[in-house]
Amino acid sequence: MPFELRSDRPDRLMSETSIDDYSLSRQLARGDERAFGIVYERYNGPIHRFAWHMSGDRAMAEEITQEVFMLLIRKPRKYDPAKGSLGGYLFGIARNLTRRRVEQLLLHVPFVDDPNASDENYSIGESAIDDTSNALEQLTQHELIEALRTAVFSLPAQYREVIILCDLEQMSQAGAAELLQCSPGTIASRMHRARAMLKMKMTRKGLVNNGSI
Amino acid sequence: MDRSEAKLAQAFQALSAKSPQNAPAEVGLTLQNAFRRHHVRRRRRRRLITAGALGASLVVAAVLLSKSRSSGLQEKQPSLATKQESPLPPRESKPIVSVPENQPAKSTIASLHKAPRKAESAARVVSQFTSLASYDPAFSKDGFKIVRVGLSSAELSQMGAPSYVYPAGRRVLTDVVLDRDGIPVAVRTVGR
Repeated sequence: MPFELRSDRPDRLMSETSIDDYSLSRQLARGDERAFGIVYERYNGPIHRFAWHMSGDRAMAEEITQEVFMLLIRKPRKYDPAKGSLGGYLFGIARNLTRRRVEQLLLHVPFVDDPNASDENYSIGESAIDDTSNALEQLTQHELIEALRTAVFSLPAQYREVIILCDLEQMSQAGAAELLQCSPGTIASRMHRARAMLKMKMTRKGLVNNGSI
Repeated sequence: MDRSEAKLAQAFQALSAKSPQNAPAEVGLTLQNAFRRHHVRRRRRRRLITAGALGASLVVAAVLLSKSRSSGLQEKQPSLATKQESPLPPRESKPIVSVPENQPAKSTIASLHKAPRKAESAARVVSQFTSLASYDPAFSKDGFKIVRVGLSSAELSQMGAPSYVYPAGRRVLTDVVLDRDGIPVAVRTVGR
């Protein structure tokens, strides 16, 4: 199965991790609390992080996590194991909810850090990345993390979700492709572009912070 | 991989590590309670539906049963009615039996009293058969019948029975032997 999640709990019991999605969904539908516990334990972290990185809002991330699992509680039979993994199904819900929420939020508060930045502005070549390499190296660890968080947050949604899934959640490109319902090639190209955008954004910040310009 | 790529990868790892590993515990508790509540309600609703379906099927079964019973009664009633409508044979004709040809009428008639009806078993034969004027010994005895009827002395007299056969002034139970044409050929009185 290409869709895999980063393991948050290495101490998790083997019996819990070995239960397949089909059995879990059936047990959930029957009202097995233990099955719900396993599903929640398995997916709440990645979904919460995904929602948090996508929205940039902790409260919204909590709400989205809650809504995703509430949907699973209310309509467990909506999940069809033939169509994909349970994780993919939950991520799909989280993705749709986050997009909707962020779009609603954007109507009121523009939250891109650079007001002039648009999709076209991110069309940078390899040479631009090379020029900014040195500036990026000069950032401290803390500054780097904060700059990265802000930069990820300001990416367009289709690039942001690829970075979150593949770089932050360490999901394979095939898994991300399954989840986002596109080809692995699309994921690869989006990742390349997204990283280039991130480097440029971080370099800009780094240059400003260091007063190098 | 150049140094900027390495630094970016390092930053990704650091950001990932700094990110919350799980949703807050309150979210988990809320969801657990919601799960429990949802399934308690679902089970209750299911029980109610099951009970309702069971009740409905019982009602339907009861209605069907009562209908089938009533239709069964309706089917039985016409047969009873037809039975009632059919004319009952006269009570007097019940003891009618055929008399075998090779036996004399008197002995045959006497033998017939060995297995009379219960009500008639209590009857006591008062006299022997007395032949009437209409009796002709030359007649074939085949097809002779005995009929027990209550007759008045006048009626017996009209039939040609001698007066010693019956007490005067009251009706007596009488065995009347009829030939094939229904003509009385012999009589005897029966006491109770």
